[in-house]
Amino acid sequence: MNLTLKVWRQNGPTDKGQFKTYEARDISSDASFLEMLDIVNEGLESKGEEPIGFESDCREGICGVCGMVVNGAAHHSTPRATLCQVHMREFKDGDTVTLEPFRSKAFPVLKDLIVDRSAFDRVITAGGYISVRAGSAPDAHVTPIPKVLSDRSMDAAACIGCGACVAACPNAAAMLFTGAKVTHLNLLPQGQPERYKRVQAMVEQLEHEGFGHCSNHQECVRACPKGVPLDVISLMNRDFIGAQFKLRS
Amino acid sequence: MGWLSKFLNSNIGLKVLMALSGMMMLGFVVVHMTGNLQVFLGAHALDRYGSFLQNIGELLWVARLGLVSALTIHVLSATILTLRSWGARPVAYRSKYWFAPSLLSRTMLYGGVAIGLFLVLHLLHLSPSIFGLDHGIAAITPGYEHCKTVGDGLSASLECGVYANVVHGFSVVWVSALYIVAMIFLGMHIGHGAWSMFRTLGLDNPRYDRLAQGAAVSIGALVAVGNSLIPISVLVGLVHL
Repeated sequence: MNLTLKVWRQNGPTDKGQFKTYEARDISSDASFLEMLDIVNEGLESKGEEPIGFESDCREGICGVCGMVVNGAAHHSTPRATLCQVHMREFKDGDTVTLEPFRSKAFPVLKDLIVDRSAFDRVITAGGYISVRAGSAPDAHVTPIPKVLSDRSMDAAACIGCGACVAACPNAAAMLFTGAKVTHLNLLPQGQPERYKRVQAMVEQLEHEGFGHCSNHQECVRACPKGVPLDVISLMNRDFIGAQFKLRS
Repeated sequence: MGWLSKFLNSNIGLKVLMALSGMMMLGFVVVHMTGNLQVFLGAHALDRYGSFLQNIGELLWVARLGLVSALTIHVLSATILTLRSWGARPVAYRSKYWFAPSLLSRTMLYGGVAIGLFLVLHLLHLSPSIFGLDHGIAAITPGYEHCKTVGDGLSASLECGVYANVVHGFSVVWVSALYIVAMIFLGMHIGHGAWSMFRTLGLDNPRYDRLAQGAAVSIGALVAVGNSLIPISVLVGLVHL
């Protein structure tokens, strides 16, 4: 199949950037979206042109590295899929496809479709840890956890930190991401010692990075390749409000 | 108190302020509508209700102060959050795909501004003279009559001809039309806001989330229809002098 690509090209963080049009010729409908870009890049390189910059690593939907906005949708509009899991059979021959980087003040563009997501790392560093007993590994089942809680915690823990929630949110908020990280630990017994300190610190860092607020549009939830539920945001809100009463200093 | 200003300045803190002030105003809207629907019970019932409100004295100012504070907090936090949200995405997308195309959530800003503008019209149109609005009221409500003081000394009280003012006021077609449009906006605003406020406050539960969303949309629809019935009934002659 043949496609026309409208791709955001930007040489570096300070470059203004612009859309450029490329043709993708003779693409197999079985190719993945990223393989299609590899083929286009091979063509560009053979002509001595700069290949389109984009990120990828595992290419099996686990690492959270790939991601761009395809036709206005983070990771394309395919439900529950990272961009590497999207295949060309979802497009039609002759389609025009627009490729843009995740747009957010907190995710500056490094090059073309590559953005700097270190803001997420700093949010995690602020509180995404638990205190553990150093020493021999504890026995399994030493801490009983209700199945309902472990399930909800694992739903939150499914977050791979790809940033699609920020890209899809009309307010460029990272509430789903931060909510997932807070909820994942705050629901479990192991996360209790730092519960309120954690939410306070992570929300403060979130604010500092310049992400927007939550208006419950639910765009993030639908764009999330891992199906992290909207509840994580209200659980984070509840603990953040609670922290104002619980924290003593 | 550093923690408090930090909390109130955070996005979540501002949303909490919006939720609480919104909740207050929603309560007012429902009570206000219920009271005004007495127009269908006839002139006596509505005039008695209007006079009762005017005669509660200082308590009326407590209520007004509460509402003005809620409105100010709501508008201020909405403005700050919107400006921050615009700043959070300096470069817009060329194309935008909506995964969850919710008309209600996406019209919150426009609806809010429309309701704010409507409030000005509403105060100019039917409010008793509280801010020296007499000229404005006379201009858009021909035949408007202010409350009259009857009796003197301690037994003095106000008597208001609310019913006649309502009929005069809504006989003006463009005014009635604007009211109906504003009520549709208000209903849509409530339809999203009354659900969203619970999520902001972290009071939701997957068990009753659908119920809460349905309830919010129903209350919004009820407010839009209930309030619109008044101008419509005057226009079609169901409510007349």
